[in-house]
Amino acid sequence: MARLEGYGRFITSVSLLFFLLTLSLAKAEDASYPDKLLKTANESSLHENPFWATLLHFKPGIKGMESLVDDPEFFLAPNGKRDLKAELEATIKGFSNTTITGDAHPICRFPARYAWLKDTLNIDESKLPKAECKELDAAMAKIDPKSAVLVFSDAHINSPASMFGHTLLRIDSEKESKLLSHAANYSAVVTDKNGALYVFRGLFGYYKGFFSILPYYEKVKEYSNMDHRDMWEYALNFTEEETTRMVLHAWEMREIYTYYYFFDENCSYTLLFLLESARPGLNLTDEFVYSAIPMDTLRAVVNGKAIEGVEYRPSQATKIRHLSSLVNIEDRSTAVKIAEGELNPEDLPLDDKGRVIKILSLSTEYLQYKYSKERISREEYQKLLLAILKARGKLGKDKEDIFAIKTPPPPEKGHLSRRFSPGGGVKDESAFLDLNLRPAYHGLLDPDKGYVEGSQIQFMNTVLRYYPEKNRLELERLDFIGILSYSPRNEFFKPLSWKVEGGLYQELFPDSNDHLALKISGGAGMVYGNSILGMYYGMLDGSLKASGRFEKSFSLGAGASTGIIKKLSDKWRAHLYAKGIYYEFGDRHRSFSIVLNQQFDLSPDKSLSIDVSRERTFGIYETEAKAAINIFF
Amino acid sequence: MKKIVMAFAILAFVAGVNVQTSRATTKAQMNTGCGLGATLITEADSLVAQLAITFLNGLSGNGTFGITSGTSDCKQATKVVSNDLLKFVADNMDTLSKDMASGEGETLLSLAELMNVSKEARPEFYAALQANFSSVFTSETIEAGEVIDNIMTVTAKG
Repeated sequence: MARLEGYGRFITSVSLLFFLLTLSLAKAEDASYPDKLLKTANESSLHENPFWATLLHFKPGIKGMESLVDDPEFFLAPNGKRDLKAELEATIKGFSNTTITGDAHPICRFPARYAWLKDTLNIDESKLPKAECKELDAAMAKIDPKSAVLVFSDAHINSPASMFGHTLLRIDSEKESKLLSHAANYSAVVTDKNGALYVFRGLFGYYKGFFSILPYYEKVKEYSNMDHRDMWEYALNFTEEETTRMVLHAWEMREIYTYYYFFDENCSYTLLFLLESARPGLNLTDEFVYSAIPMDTLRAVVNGKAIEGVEYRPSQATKIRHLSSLVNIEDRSTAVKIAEGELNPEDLPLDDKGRVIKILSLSTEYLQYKYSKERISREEYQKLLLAILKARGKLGKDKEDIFAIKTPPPPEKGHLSRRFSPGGGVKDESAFLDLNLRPAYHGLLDPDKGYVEGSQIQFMNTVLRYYPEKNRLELERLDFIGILSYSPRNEFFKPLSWKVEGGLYQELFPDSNDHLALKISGGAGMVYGNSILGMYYGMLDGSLKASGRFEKSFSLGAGASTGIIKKLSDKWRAHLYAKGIYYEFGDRHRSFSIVLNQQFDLSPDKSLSIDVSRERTFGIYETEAKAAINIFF
Repeated sequence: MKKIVMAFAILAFVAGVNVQTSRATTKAQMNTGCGLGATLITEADSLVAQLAITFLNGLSGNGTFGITSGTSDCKQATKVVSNDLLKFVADNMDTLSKDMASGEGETLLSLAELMNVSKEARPEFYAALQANFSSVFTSETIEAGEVIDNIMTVTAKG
């Protein structure tokens, strides 16, 4: 016992010694210095400075101003998520912390806050503990930030919702090759394999989103080779100083999570905070309250005058389409045969070198495409790739630039994503007026400049209809979602086209009247195309209707649809289709319809729709004709 | 709201209960092996995958500062080269082979910069690599270290 007591006394005296030592060290660094800084900060109400709110990602929320960042590690004050002042005080105090060393020290952990406060409060570094930020310094040396580029990845060839696009930042160094730059990317970490959970959690914020910094070539490979999405690189007019500030802020966000919401707190929105951190006074996030579509955030940056030029990086799929447009049908099939291993690339006659180069280049790209879609084994791929490239290597440099692909209209030049369409028409004998509001994003026949042809993605498309004769106002339709992907098949691409629609619609019932019913339908099929017909398709369809007016509450059926989508001129698009569904389960009935939709552009942000349709459901015929003006805003 | 959730739930069910081809899993598998074919990201082409991508745009990735991921599992170069060079070649071998065969391209520029080839010397550097393509990519199963060794051999002066 006595020994233990003695031990305890020893420990006490050692801790006391340490305490005194720490105290004296702090004294050397001027213990009153943080208080002085705090006083200056409070006198000028520094916590109200908008840039401080930007650095902490503060936005007005349900419970007042709060930070969108959810990770407690991001805050030094216990209530930092909701209290700008408390966090500022804790940060200033944290800078003079003497117990934490290395990269965990607040000066190393929050270098953007430190840089800003150092400037604003004229902090004398000699009065603070010397922080050694080895990791930070190494990362900064490696990234070597000089200028920045906002990168927007375009639509997936056969996945219209990826039209939402993805945005990331590229940090350029002095190197000429941009592949060697770094990318700052925000994405959610998905932890489920279950499809239903996956979607639900993505939409409603159950996944944690993180920033990551990685070599830019990784993102190029991902978007250009795997997803086949073109990339747009918007040079930001940030100075070296501003770019550095932004990278320092990205460092603060390292391993910090924010709950990810598909519609608003997504990749694009969160990235805007990084941009704002570069340039105090740049205000980009305010206009996005309910949703942030990457395209709109891109527009915000363009409108914020932070862009000085744009470059286009075509995806592999675009390169294949371009190369195949340079050669005739015979050479196209030669290229396919080589990529299938049916023809030896060395056997091509070499009298026209330029032609052979085109064929071999097309073969190579197509082979890689096939491999990226896992249609051939790796062994097969390696063998064929090397054989083609060996033949190509012998031909020397190409005289013409076969990869000079004309830059299409950039995505931000496309129509705006909200649409308001007042209109009117006649249904059987009754005239009606329509008010249609579609919050997002692109209809099949909407102006396709900057969008993918044959695609549609609509959310919460709402039509209110008023019948003056009956003085009746009703909900005509409310599409929760409406997604179409019509993607033509050819020698190189064999996509399956598909559609999914779901919502509340006025449906014909046996009482000869329309009543609101829940309907979910989908289909998959094949689309082909040529210059005369445009795109034409055939699909197998399924449909489920639910309503209390059905005897069995529901009606489930299957059928088919076929149609033509044709661009009649630059400003005129039409879609003609016929569809038949046999409802065999629940309330049995049949439904057939034939529809012609047309849209004419009136100006870049206005168009005219004219739709006619005839339908037969439960043996009852219904005819409708309507016209509407679409205003994109 | 309940109906919206229901609609989405049904839709997700249509989209397939098990998103086997999700990016999360693809990514985990993508960097297997070394050499050609290991540096391209692959993903099976299925309707389920497309529907998954549709909703999960931006839902992927890992939460790290991945600026120093290693290539330690692959054969190293016998010559002394920088880690950056080895990593770049290992991570971009497919595109590099393509650019080398055509004598131009972004990965060749990157290679030249990482090997400190001066601007004036680059056209000759690219031409030498193209002319000696078969001596650089000597076999289908070649790995980054050997590619770099061969590049140095065929571009060495004198």
